[in-house]
Amino acid sequence: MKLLLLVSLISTFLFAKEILLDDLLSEYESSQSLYHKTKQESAGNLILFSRSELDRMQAYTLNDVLKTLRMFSLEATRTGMTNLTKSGSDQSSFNSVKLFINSHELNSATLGDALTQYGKMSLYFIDHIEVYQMGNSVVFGNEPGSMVIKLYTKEPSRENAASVQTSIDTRGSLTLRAIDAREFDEYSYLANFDVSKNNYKTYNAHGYNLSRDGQRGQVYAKFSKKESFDIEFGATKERYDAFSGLGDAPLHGHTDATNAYLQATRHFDDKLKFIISLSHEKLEVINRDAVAIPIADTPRPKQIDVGIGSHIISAILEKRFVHENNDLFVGAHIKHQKFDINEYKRDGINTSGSWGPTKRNIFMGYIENLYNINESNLITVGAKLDRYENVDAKSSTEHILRLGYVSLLDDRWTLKLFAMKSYVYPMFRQTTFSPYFNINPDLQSIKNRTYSAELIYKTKQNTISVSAGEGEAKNMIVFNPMLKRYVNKDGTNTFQRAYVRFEHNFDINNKITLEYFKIFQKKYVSSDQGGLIQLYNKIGKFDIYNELIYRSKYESAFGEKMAAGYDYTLGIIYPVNKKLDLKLKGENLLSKAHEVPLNGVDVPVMERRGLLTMEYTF
Amino acid sequence: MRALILLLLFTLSSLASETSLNLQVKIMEKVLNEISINKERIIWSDNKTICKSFKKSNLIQTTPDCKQATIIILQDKNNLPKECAHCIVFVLDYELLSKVPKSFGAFFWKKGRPNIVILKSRLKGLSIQASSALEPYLEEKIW
Repeated sequence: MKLLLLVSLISTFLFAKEILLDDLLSEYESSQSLYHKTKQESAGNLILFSRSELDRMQAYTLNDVLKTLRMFSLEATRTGMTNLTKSGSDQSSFNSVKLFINSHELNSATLGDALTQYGKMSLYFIDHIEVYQMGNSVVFGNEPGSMVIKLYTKEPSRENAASVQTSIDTRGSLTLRAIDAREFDEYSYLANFDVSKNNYKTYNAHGYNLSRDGQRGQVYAKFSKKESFDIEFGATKERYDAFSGLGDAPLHGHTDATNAYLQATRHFDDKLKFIISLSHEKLEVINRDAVAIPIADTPRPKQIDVGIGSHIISAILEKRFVHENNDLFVGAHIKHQKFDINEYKRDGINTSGSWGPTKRNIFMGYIENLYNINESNLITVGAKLDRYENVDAKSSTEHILRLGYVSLLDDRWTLKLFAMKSYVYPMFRQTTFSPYFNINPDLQSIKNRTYSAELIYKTKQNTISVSAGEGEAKNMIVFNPMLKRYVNKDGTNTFQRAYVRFEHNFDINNKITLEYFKIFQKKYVSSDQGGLIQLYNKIGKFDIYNELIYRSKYESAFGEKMAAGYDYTLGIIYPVNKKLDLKLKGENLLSKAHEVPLNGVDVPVMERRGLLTMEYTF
Repeated sequence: MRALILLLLFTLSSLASETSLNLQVKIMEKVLNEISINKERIIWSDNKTICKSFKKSNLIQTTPDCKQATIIILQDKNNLPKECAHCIVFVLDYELLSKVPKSFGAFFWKKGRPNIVILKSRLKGLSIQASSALEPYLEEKIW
């Protein structure tokens, strides 16, 4: 903390100087940032990570960004993955976060939450990230989520280069990334390739080793014709050790995950587009335990083998009508989902069961209207109607209504108010198949309402945002340990949330962000408060980044008392010449980052490590 | 029109574009003011928006007729009139440095950042002197 304050004070004095060409270039870069074209202030409470911020943060994976998000804690899981957990709640609580690359939703139909599967995704091909919290706009389409994370890919006309980047860390992890993006006449392409071997500390629980080491590979390619079409292809393959698995005495286990998608977008003019996409997902899990794996039935097996997957076909048509003070957006979306249960073995013996619906068609229609009441006041009204047709199972119709009001009170003050009535549809592992608990095909969606107010004060150097909101959920989906399945619960759950965020720009290259948030609810089983300090400095040729993430102490659902988390990251970038950059990063340097108790050991998302990266541009 | 401003702000477009154009021109003015060409600096450009913005800032003279210009700011090689081949050229696309022999420098995007490159060999050949402020942007040859 002292170090941070010292660096902050020094930076205040160091950076008063005449405007140089380099500073003008930085200002120009900032004014031309691609987020100016994509961000939608009226779509929710926005957290933005610009290209320059992601570079200076040395955000190599999505988790490097997720761990900074207010109202959530990034946590390790029993099965070697990571999970973004809502503050105050634990990992078993329902959490629907939607993740998009451009306009494609990254589906994890089998796991329900894409973030568990894509946390280690490399960001080398990503330009900027927009995170929308509370009352997200219906224009994002797809099934609704409590938070929407939009990743936008780099723009070939801004790249015009091929680069390779390699990282090695103090645990022997190794990553190799490559990107090539160019524009030729009206065509452009972007190609990204990434492989990594990820090592973590091996823990010991009751004499058994818990490993979550893994390997990962991903490709992304985009080919576009200006104002005509985009074709995108993305694929990932990942294999990682199962850590504790579901039992307490793990002998062997791993997860193999494969995902691929192909999406084509046709722009008929700048206001009408048609998108068609295909996604495929395969997940294979092996979990072997010395004692037993806790499942719903008896006898409890010592090994389970699971092979599941999904296929999704999706078509979207969207049209925008702009007329004087009015901007009307209309969309229609058809999605076909098919789930496969290829293998389910207990102790090597094929086990059949009565699974829930494996085929589903979703028909969605949505409309949003932005209207300028006058030059300082904007009102937005959105509605979405979704019909879920389950083959051989109960179907249902859901809807979303959203109201928003944005007012520029004067040159400095902005007020944003949002109210939204929405739903969360149950997941595949709750309704259709789970190796560990009974399924419930009759589950109904959660009905929720959110209200939020945000007041923003902005000057040339400072931005202060203060926000408060309330969420309520009816017909909650909770796990019933007696029935060993998820059920709908009567009654209403409510929570309130508040945050304050302050950003100060010392100059174009030096800035600080301070943030604090708190969740208010009846019972807390994880951190209910958190904070963030980010300090970006440029001293000579060195780019220096300091980050401190705080999560409050808590008592888990099983009564374990956990200490407060302080995750301190320091990053330094040194450009050796115009082609070569050297980057050093220390993560969890205090070794006090937020932890969760898993099978008797306290585990952070990332143990303390140092990371050396070299980037060469051709 | 004023009523539209807020709508644009919260939907697709950005008000940053005007600031951005001013900055773009400011950067080029700074570069061109740091070179000496033994003639008065008079600019012509095939990008009319840039030309307009130069005219507005009034720091460097502009002309609608390239024959009267001494410096050309070029975006597209096909727009370079033959009768203006006598002028030195500052290009807005890195590739143009190799295609236009009279070009001495470029302002372009690479790896998501705006870059300035001034070619040492071309400065010499075109009898242009660059001040020390441009030292960090001098390159021996085209990459």
